[in-house]
Amino acid sequence: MAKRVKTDIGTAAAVLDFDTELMLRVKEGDGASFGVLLEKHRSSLVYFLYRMMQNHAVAEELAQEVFLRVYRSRSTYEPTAKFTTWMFRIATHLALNALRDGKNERAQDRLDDDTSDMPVRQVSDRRPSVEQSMVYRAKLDEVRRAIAALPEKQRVAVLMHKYEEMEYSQIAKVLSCSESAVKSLLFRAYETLRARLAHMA
Amino acid sequence: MGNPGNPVERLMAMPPEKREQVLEKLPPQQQANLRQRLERFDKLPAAERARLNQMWSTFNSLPPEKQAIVTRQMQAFNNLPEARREDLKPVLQRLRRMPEDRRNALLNSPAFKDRFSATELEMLTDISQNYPLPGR
Amino acid sequence: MNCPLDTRENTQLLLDYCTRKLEPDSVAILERHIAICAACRELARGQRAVWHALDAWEAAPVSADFDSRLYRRIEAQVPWWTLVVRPFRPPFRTVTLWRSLPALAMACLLVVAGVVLERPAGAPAPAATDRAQVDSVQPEQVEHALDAMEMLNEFSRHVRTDSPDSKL
Repeated sequence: MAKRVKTDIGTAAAVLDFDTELMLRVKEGDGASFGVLLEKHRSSLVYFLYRMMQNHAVAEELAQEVFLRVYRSRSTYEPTAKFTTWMFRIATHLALNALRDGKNERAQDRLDDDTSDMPVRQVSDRRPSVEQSMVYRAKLDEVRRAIAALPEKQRVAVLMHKYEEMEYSQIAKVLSCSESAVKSLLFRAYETLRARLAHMA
Repeated sequence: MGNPGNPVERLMAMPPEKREQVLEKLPPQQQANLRQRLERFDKLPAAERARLNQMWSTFNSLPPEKQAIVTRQMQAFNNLPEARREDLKPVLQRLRRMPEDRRNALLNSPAFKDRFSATELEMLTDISQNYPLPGR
Repeated sequence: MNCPLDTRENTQLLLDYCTRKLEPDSVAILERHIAICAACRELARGQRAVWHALDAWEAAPVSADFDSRLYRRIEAQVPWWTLVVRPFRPPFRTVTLWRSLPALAMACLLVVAGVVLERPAGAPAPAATDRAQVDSVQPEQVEHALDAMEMLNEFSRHVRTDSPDSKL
């Protein structure tokens, strides 16, 4: 690559918490840094919200609201926590409110028909047969129902632990509780999931 | 979202006569080629242009040596046969989202190594380590 | 070692083991225990099954127009005239012009401040440093930036199914 144009963002890359640096630059009026944060976290945020709400349109709507709130808060932003902790805290708050408001009230109905746009896993270069696809979709349906049946906080904890690969300490910060409370939530959640899904081995 | 750091945007923001002065520094053939590429860029919808600017910003935030590694491996990935690219795609996505310690553990595990050729392993390692997705 | 089924803490150990978060030393100890404890073996098997079952649940790709919709919302969220004028509406209607002048002046000031502060980042005010950068741009830098964007765009298109096919 040719001679690199040195930017402030370039300097920030060397700092450990890159996201916080980026957010501080957004606070200073650097719109491009907001774009970098969006590019980095768009997918994981939408996926988390999708698994929470089990409705793709609602998940994207909520993810937009999260980014909008991040952008609106730029002038008052203080790096008191990791950027992702802050972002997921906003997302969790919005998702739990939306669930209570019944925004995903059709989600349970959709469990039956919303799997058509899900990527079907492929083993190596072999395309799955119709039968394999049906088995996969049945399993997927069972997984989604099992997750949906978990109490809200247990669901958040499992999704962050399993899919976002967050440490207990970060989940605790997102949920504003102790690490031992998170472990307890996960213990109960996985116990329930084992009872429902262990036969899928 | 503008990107004043991107040389393409900086050139586009110049008054026409200044832009000409920059372009005229190139030999005629190269100049014509660049004009064509700039015209294509200028015609992109605003959202698409913003997306490209964002990707460039992320890439440009890397130190030069990492930019070189990422460039080499991304070009190699882009040139893979489609079927193989499809196989590597979910693996790469997952690796790019992983925290560093877990990614390294996976990349170094014998079971993982068995699934890919040495070149592919190097590609997966270089891209996921130098161009990860979410920062946690 | 106690049987993990006996205490919650030890079940946590087993959970960490199944999710590959356990330190190698603890893994060795736990594996020795699992070899002789049928209950723990069953728990570990069940947890691994859950883990694999959850692995199967992939989310659908993000819509291609996600960013453009967000940027539209960001740019549309600048109702500065509403925010500024609304608090001053009653005085405009009820007091004489001279009494409303300070409020009007304040409103104008806030409008200017609002425009400066809420200026969409897509149209940033050209700063002195930007101007210096503009003056120093070289054609090779432009070519390389285009090369990089083309490569990144192609890579993004390959790895993310939600990425639109750019005409770049």
